Amino acid sequence: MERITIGRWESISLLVMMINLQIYLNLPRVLAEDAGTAGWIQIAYSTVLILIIFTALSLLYSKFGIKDILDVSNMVFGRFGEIITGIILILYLFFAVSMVLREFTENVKIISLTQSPISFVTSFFIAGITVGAYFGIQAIARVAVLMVPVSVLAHFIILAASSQYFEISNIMPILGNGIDAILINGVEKIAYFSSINTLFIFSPFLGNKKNLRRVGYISIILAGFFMVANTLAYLLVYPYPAATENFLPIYQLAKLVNYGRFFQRIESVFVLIWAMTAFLYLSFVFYLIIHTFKKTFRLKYQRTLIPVFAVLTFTVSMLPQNLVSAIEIETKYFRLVGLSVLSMLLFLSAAGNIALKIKKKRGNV
Amino acid sequence: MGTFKDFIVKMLFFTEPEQKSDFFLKENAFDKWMNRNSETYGNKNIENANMENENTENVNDGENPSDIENEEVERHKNKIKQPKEIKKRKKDLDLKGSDKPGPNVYNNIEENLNYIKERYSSSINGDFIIREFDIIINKTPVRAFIIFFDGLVDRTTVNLNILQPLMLLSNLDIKSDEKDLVEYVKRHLLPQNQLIFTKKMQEVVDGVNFGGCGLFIDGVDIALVADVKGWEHRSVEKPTTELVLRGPQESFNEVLRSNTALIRKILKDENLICEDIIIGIRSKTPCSMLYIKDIVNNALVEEVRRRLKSIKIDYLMDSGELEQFIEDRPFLLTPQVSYTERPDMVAAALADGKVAIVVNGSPFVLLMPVTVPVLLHSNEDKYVRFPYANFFRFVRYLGITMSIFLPALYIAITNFHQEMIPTDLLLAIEASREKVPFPSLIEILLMEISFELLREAGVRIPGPIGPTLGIIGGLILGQAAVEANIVSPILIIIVAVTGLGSFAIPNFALAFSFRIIRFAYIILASLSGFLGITTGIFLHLVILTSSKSFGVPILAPIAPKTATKADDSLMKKPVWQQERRPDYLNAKDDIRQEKFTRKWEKK
Repeated sequence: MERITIGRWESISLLVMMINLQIYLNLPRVLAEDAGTAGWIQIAYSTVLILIIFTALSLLYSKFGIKDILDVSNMVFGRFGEIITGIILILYLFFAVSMVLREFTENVKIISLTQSPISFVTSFFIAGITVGAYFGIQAIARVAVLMVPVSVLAHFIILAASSQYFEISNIMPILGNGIDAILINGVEKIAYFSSINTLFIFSPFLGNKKNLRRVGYISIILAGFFMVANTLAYLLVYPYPAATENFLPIYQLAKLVNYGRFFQRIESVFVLIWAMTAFLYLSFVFYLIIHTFKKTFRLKYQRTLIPVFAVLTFTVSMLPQNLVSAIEIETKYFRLVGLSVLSMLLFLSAAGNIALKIKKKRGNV
Repeated sequence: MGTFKDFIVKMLFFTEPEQKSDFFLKENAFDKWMNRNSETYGNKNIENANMENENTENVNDGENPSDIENEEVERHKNKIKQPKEIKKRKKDLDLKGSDKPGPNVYNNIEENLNYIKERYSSSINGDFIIREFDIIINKTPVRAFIIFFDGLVDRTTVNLNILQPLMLLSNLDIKSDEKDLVEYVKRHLLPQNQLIFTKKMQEVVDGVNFGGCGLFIDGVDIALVADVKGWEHRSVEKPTTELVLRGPQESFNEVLRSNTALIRKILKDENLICEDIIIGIRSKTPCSMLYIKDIVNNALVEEVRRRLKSIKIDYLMDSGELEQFIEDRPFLLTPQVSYTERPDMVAAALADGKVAIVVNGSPFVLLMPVTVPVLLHSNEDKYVRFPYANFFRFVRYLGITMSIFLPALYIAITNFHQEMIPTDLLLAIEASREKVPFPSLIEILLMEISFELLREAGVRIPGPIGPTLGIIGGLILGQAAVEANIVSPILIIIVAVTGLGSFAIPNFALAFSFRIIRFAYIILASLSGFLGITTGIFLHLVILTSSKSFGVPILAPIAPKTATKADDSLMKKPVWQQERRPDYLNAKDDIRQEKFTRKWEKK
């Protein structure tokens, strides 16, 4: 029987694309609301925080090799613990995939498919994630490798093209809503990096425990760089009050791209890249749901779960009444859930270490 | 493989795949063993040559790797003597044919004659010849006869090298103590370079059916088959489908041995192995599997051999058929085996560590494994300087992108993203479409289908009336359609540029796949603009990235990313910097040239 592994660069590409999806959704606006003109400092601070947390987590995790968090919970709390952890993870991933699906669908509808019903737009994403999950993690990760250069190019085009509107006074005062706002509110902003949680679900696919740490660090640093750069550019272009009002911050930034009489209003082209990022995020998280479900309940097959979960995802994503309520749910609960899962990972890793020590002691006795 | 129905059912009901281990080309234990003993093989570079990449791979699970390794090492140790094995196999196949079914050769010539007459229906078979005569052995006439197909053999050779020695020279006083009749004939009477001795009638029949001349002698239960092939065939001509301005101007023809010789003529390497395999229960089509034994990955050779030997069909007509029997995913649009009519391309592929299959009767040689980036390379890229090659490649990539996406982008922009079009252009498009009654989707489908029709007709049309097609295409489909307000002029430009782009694709099979996929993108774009196109791209990429050609991911070395020191994947490095063979092939010896090949530059 063959075991599938994915390479280091593929995992990094995947995680960077997943974390960066937040940029396309509403990250720059939320940061502007929270820290004012210092939103970019706040996300830089959150990047440093998540790096510290990840260091602690990976140190705690180092004894488990490439075991995933389900194996660790099994080791600590037995089969029951594994099932509980599995259910929590499935719910978390399910919540993430449904919310991002709804938000992104609404965004696409606003940008280019204003006349189409939301279910019609959603069906495209459902088709994509279904096929993505069918072909598996290797295929999705390789698509991420292909898309990263394109995505990076798009980022740089937007940043370079909007640089003509940069106004340094827009990010003054430099500390925005104050140092307290940056430091205290910045803690919960680490939830924007919560996609890093998935690293501890797909760690067995990495094939090598050294990869886990490298992948985590590089992904966080790269994603943090893009988050800081985009937020800074957004805040440099839009004055503080206007910066807090744009539903689609980066889309608004792309809308400004204007060179001469011919090269203007090309924001729709970026839909291609954003939608691709969403496809990667959704299909990967969707795959992890199926994978976690199979592993938790020790099923033989997983592909048969795909249509069931696809219908469920579609249905749950339709629950919020409109974009505003979807954003509300996301801002209220998504960060909380992301942080909770991160805490659970820390707890399980620490508990796992203690369990290992006890085992060792007993063995010695 | 399953039927199409099975495939649809699997896709619709998300059926779990069969629990089988896919073949994945990776460094095997034999290669590791070779590396450890690299000096024995005079190749010190092998140790550094493997697995430099961090590419995705399937790893063996469940068994102790060291046990597997030891077993494999033991198993493969014997395979090092492969040339001998091949020789033995060849001997078994050609000289004895002990596993062949059917009766043995009779001792009595009358029985042999009757059997042959019946087997070949000689009374009604016009081109089947039986020639009876006597051989004088020790002044005693011995009855004998030869059989062959008129037209398949070289008549002069039969007359001068078989009949004349047996009938006339046997009268001479030959100094020999040889008692065995067959040995006597072999050593003194038949000046023929390729002779098969067999006890099996089937062996004689197979030889005669493939241009041989069978000889039966009275009182001997062994028959001889002499290779006297001499049928009419095309000579080595200029390539017709893969033209280049620079580079060799030879192409394959339909004769197996001419083709293998054309390759051997370029490589001049005794390590080039040409393994013969017969395919087709009735046709017994001779095929040759070629590889360079100290470069190619053994696992690849084993896999190709396994697939070839598993084919059970009556007749194999061409390499195009064979390709369909051995490819990994029959339902994937992208080709998984490449083909060429150019010996230099085959030689280059073999030198990289690939495997080639030559099929008798086909002027196209199959190469495997293949990756999409390689399919995008033109034959000329190798022979021109790297800046020119890269410029050609850039233009080609642009053409390919346009051939796939341009019609879909036109639909998406005109229907969903009008704001992207600059005002002047928007007005021009609107003015040109004012009198057109169809929506742009119908408009573009009409023109694309007409264009495909034109292209198909162009291939089928007899030469002398070819120019008529140009008139129909240019005048009727272009000018008249616009004047009749069926399509807008801008659409003619879109379709024309798309067509030009598709002609820029060097590989015909890949161009086919893109032509079909283009229609899918048009439909998706008409449904939801850029979102539809993105959906298409995502699905397309997911399918491609999960596909393999003989164990090699079809998008290697891009996805998965492999070591790039051999880099000639997307853009071409200067030829002196291409020091390594493609990493994804995991060749035994992946060093192509020394690090610094332009030694004359050193002081």
